Amino acid sequence: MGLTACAPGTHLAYVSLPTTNGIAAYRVRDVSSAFTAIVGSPYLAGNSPGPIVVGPSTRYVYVGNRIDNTISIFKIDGQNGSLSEVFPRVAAGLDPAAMVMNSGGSLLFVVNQIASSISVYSVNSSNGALSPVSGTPVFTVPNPVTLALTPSGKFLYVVNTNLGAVFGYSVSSSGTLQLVPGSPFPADVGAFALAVDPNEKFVYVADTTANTVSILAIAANGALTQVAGSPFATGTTPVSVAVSKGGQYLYIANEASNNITEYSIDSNTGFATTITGSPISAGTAPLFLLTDPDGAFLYAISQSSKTITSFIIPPTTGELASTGDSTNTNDSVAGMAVSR
Amino acid sequence: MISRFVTITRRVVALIFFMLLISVPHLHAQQAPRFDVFGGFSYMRFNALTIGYPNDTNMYGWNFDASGYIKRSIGVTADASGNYGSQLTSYHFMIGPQYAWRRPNSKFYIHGLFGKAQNNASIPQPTRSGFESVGRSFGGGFGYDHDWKDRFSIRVFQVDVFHSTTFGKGQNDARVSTGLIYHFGHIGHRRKL
Repeated sequence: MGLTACAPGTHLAYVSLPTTNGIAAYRVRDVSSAFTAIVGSPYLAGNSPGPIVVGPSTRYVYVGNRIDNTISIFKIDGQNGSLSEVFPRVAAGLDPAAMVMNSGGSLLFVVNQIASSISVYSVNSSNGALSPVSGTPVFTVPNPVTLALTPSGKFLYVVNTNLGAVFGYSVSSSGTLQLVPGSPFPADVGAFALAVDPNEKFVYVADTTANTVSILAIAANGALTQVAGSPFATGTTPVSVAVSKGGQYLYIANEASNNITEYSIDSNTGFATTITGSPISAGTAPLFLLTDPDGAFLYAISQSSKTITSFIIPPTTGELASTGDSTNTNDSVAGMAVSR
Repeated sequence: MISRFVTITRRVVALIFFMLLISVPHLHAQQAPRFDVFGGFSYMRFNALTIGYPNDTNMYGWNFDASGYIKRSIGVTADASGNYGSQLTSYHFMIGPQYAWRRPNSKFYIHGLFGKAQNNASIPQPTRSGFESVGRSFGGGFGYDHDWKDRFSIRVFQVDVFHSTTFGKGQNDARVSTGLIYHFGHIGHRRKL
């Protein structure tokens, strides 16, 4: 049924709208990146939905409700991609601020910002239900803000803004977490957002206060060290990080300077070189960046202007080109996820 | 795409009224049925792309209409149809002018239709069974009927296109119908022998 919802030539996008407690659903054309709202959208979630994840099977969507301190599970309709919530909601820690799922769809990781903890859930493959993994939540230093998982699922990285650092955890097959020796690993002042290289070589951290991006190499044991030249200058107030599908290009959303800084990344050293034409204007205060599953488009989401703007990622140069398309979400956006 | 569809539909309607204007002096003084009641099968190609489906969808159902003629070739038709897909249901309730070219055993006609569309998406939610939207609809079409028995004809085909606005989007749908017609009443004069 999931494969039917993601018909050839299209994929699905889901956007959390905290002001109206809704989840907007769109069908996106692969070739043009045109967004079409799905009938019935937006669908009601809990109080102040924020982080959102689409399971790799495209059967379920998971949403963190930041005021309810719960996780909503939505079943994706096999024919048109619409959502129907499956009750009851699952308890999370205080303020589930960020979520990530492993590539196999068997584990869900949640950062609870106010609780300063990390929750881990095993995912039932038949009905999408969540069960807390034994030994979690794991408590960490106050103010963890976001997290990212390596593609292999071996290591989980959590950004702590207070410390300007990244905590690393090794992840067992059952989902238990073990702190990587040497954690936390320093980034720069105001570390706020991060992404992991698809080739599992580097971690990229946007440092909001320092206006830099820290690039850290991943060792075999998950430890992180800054690459030569890191941190690299960005625009003003970098708040989101996105990496191209092949890992060769890096994009940073700069909220205060209303643009996106574009880099090419040396696959061996991790050195970042700004791409010709960088930065590119990205409308008003871009807050989130996300790539489509094919790596052909980059989506920039503006919370203040309530829009999703699409950019083409040329595979040979990485220099973003605006499609001229902008989707109005009619509400401030707090998170976005796309299906495969 | 919508403006082209609207333009085509408006031209069809304008053609109907033009035929009404020029045909009055040319009406043949022959008797014809005053009222037709049609019932039959209908196929619709529904523009589901506009509401987030991956493709437009095929729907099947019924079509009824009742036509009354004020002149031998000029009349009004009231049309209703229901079409059903795996999740979607589409109803149209329309009325409009109709012009017919009559032959001894058959009739070709065109008409313009205006009314409403009611579209339903059966997607169960925790607190509701699905989503429904009602909006304006307009369109036009043509058809061909062939006499069968004394008061009955076969509607060989009727083709209609509609532009409707539901769920905040415009849909361009096409419908094909066939079935049986019952005639009663008469209009016009018997031909002198």
